[in-house]
Amino acid sequence: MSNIKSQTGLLRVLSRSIAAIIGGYVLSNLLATLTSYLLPMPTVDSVLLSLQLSFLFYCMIIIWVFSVKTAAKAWLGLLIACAISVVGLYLAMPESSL
Amino acid sequence: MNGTFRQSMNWLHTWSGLLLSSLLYFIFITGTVGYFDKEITHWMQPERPAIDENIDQRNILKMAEQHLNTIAPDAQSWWIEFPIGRSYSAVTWWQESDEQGGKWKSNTLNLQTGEAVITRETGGGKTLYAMHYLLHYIPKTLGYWITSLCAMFMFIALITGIIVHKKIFKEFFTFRPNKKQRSWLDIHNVFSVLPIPFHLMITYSGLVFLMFSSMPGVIVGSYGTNMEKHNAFVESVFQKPAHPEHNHEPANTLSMLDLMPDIESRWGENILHEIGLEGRGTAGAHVQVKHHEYSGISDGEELVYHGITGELLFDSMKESHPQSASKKLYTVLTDLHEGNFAGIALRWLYFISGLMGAGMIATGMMLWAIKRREKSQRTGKESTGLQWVEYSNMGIIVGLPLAIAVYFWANRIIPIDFANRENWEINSLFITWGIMLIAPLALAKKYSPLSLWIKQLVLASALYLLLPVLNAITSDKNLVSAILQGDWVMAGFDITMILLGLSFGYAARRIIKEMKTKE
Amino acid sequence: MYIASLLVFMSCILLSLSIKRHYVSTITQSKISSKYSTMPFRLCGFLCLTFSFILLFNLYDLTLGLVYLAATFTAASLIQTLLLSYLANWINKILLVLALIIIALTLHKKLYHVQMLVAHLG
Repeated sequence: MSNIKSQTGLLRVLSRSIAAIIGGYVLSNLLATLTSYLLPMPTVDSVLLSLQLSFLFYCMIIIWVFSVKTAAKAWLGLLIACAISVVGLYLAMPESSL
Repeated sequence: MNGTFRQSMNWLHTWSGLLLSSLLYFIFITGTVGYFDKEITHWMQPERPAIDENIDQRNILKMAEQHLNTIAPDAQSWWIEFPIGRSYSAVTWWQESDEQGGKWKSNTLNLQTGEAVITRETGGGKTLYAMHYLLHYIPKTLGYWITSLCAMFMFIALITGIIVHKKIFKEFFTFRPNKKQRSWLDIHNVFSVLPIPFHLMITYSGLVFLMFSSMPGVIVGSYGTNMEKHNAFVESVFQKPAHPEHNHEPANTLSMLDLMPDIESRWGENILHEIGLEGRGTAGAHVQVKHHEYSGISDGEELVYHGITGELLFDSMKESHPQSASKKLYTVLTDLHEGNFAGIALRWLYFISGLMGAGMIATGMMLWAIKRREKSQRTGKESTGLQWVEYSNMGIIVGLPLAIAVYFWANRIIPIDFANRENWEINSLFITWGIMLIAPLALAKKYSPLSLWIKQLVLASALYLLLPVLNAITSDKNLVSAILQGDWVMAGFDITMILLGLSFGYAARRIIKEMKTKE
Repeated sequence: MYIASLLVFMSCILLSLSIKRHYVSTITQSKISSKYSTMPFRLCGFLCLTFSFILLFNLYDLTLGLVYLAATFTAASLIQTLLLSYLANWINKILLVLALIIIALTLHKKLYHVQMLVAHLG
């Protein structure tokens, strides 16, 4: 094993868990909202469908966070993904909402 | 993380499964019990008349409307639930007028006399089942959030479990008893893998059920933070077919009995589940009629009549507004989760699958402790918290069913006119569970974990085995009379309690045997 | 409906026997079992499952049929697992009895249909 620092020390695990649970929650909400904008259906239906899909996103994000090499990489990845999502949201947001 | 993808997923599986395992066990047990909520309520209110074979629904409707006219002439809504399917009594419901407070009330009807039956106040099976998504003693929204979080942990545990199970097909159907750790792993696999369709469905649909509370960001994205717009969105999702607008102009509303000829010409006789008159005394009154048979997994057919003219406004068999794909997905998931459509055989299968889920969680909890204990015996070093876990597992796993038995005992022992008896039945459940959790920890110095398992199992066994006896002593119903009268719900409950008692007893015996061979 | 459930049970038995570990413990003591000896079991097992799904699909609609299939498979596989662990010697006999019951029930049903047809024509 090439890792010198063990990734299962308490602080690292805590950091990764917070990234997964809270960071993942934020990202999955952003992605699901983006999906609701992009789906070609009436708003009611696209929001309803995106809500139902959001948990799949959340699950995949959590699994990804726990499979990368370090907690730092996980945080970085999440932040980048959130940033891209926010940009996407801004671009895709329909005029009528908010 | 450390090591390969599989190793990381193994770590994730262990911890996402273990961290909230007690709560998940509670959710699974109360949810599983909930599939028989109506049957449990029937047992918990023995004052209810024995199930009537004679079910002339026109007669019942006439009696019910007369009864409602006497006790709730000013109510804004009247509903009658017929004794058919899983409804074991005729029940009248009414909603008081807004001036009187707008509260919903109900009475069980004695079909011989047309009078109300005085039934004891109890949460019954419904409250036991509601704890499954609300927990208890905490605000509704907090309950939704905690349950959603648990469901997410469960979903991760399921997915990672599937990922890491290398020999999932080769080890299908495998259970090797009497091999210590290997046997526990085998049985954990049996409870997890065989019901995979159920576990995946129940967990994901559970998440979907609560999604309006748990993923608000998506709603905010299209409807802003205005609460009214949110509520409008949710309402439009659950929009009901063609009901006339609310109109508070006073008007003479008809009697539901007048509609029976038309209903019977469309659907036949004695097939109604419910009939209800909403907006009584106003121009916006309408009557909803529901068929008792389910169409596939969805709710049965429905008719809506104008409450003044009696004109048919809506017939679900003729309407052709197809649901959108999103709505269809939502309805399918929630219908599957609730299983309202399930007949008796399928309902027992749901129950068995739920028990296997609870078993999956329990064996997972025990497997962790057993593995760590064997490791500590080999290496001489004990994991932190291992003793805590060993002395709390039995309180959680056996303690909860034990507490549920005490809930049933409380139902018979608490006097009928005791204030707040409904709350005290529930309190006795949680007080018992609390004692079962704390006692082993307090007795840890004196007793080994195995002996404490035996004590709790024996106690649970006794409580369950004696329930039918308690039933006979404290009510006019008992197992024998129920069988003779054909009241299979009452009899079924007592028989199930006996079987559960025997199971706990058998488990206790096996552990006693194991302890003897160890010495 | 009963035929379908029994077919599901039979399919569980057959499928389980097509797994090397269980084949060895039940059918033959010899550790040498080639893929060809387990293949017929696997094939028959999946066939039974397919037939049972067709029956359920005809009886109920698609979603409800799938629900029944999954639910009965869960229960049947649990029973089969316990049989393999505790009553492995009986499995051959149970398989035979099951097959006979299914054939008997199917014939009974077919006979009933034939009777109805004759009565209708006559």
